[in-house]
Amino acid sequence: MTRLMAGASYPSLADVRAFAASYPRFLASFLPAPARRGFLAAAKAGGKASTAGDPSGAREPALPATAAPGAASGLPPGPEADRWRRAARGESIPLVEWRLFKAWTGHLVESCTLVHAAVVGRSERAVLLPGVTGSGKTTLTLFLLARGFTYLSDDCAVLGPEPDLVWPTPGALHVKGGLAQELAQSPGSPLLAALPYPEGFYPRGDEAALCGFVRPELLPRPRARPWRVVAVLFLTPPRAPEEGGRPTGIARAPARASGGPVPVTLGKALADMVFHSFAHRPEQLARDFRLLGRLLRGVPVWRLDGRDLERAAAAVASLLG
Amino acid sequence: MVSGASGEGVERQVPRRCESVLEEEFEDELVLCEPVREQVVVLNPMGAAVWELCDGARSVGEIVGEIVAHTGAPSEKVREDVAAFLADLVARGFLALGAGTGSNQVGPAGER
Repeated sequence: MTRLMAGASYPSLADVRAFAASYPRFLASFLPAPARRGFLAAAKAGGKASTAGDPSGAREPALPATAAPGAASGLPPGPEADRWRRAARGESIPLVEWRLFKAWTGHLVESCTLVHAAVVGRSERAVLLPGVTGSGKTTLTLFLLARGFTYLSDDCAVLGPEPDLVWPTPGALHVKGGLAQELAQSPGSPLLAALPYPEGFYPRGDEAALCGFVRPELLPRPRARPWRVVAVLFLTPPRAPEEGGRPTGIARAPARASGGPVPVTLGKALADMVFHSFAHRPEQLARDFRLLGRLLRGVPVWRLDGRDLERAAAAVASLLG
Repeated sequence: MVSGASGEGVERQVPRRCESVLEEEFEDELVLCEPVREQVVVLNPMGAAVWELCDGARSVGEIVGEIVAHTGAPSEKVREDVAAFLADLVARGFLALGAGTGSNQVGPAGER
């Protein structure tokens, strides 16, 4: 696996196929036995996809369970269906990784609460970093990994059965341009390799996206055990909060955090996390709402500006103890 | 402003909570989730108080009266704010407005 992940930008077709065969086992090694078997069967069958895992869009309809990834016929015409068609051709490692990670989230959402969050940790204690696309999750994750934290996930926290248990999901990082790309490609990078996605795979604005595989020494051991969530740290999005226009009675969004971590109103935190859950059926959303409410009551919850990387790293280190 | 059945003013209509709505209460906030329509809203204390008064028995006018009595705020302002607030919750699927008699809850998305 390590050789395949580091296999440069132009692996052979045989390498791509070997990656496609071994990557599901790599992901499954972090799950307990029943879930592992279920995911491997789903990956082998072509995957029950959930488009909710794509960082460029949330809560789009899922493929029917019986649809092969190449069919994409269950999706409305558009960019997501196009990505499935391209990924199904298996023409590159990033595309194979994209498809298999979709199968992973599509399978796990049936039994776990999945939320849009990075997860880092140390000694089986983890901090969740929820944040919208563009809030700096990947940049902060790369910064923290370069300082020796363990990588559990870039974009998807898998929670359950108890609210403070999180399962490692160390798929590839989706590295967009800017500071994240600099960190990914610097001499001290925590990445084994950063492979480009095929041209046109992502929409305008994400063309420079890279598929980044983390160095093995920064991954959790595949012990099929969850880590314990000790804190939730929201990364304030760069845009201004909503202003006005709301009827009296609806709580206003908090002001943008500046400086160090600030406490968060738990109701707004819950709404944020539920909105960014991967649930695509009402019973899943109801399950996630209940679990996330319990999580936020049980651990410290803070918010800070993810662009201040040094301060964010200090906050994470402090929260992990 | 949401209008009700023909011949009924808004003030006589009775707000009813949709039975699929879930609630989580925190110190100064009440979070509502309507999973069928994938709606989540966070209510401040005033919104939570109005929501609590939407018990399927009180009309909009009675709710306004209770808020005025409790807060001392001008009734016209309270009427305006409560109407806008209820209209927002109805649009999102948390409440339905109906006639004065019948069960105090409605099914998902306003179905009985």
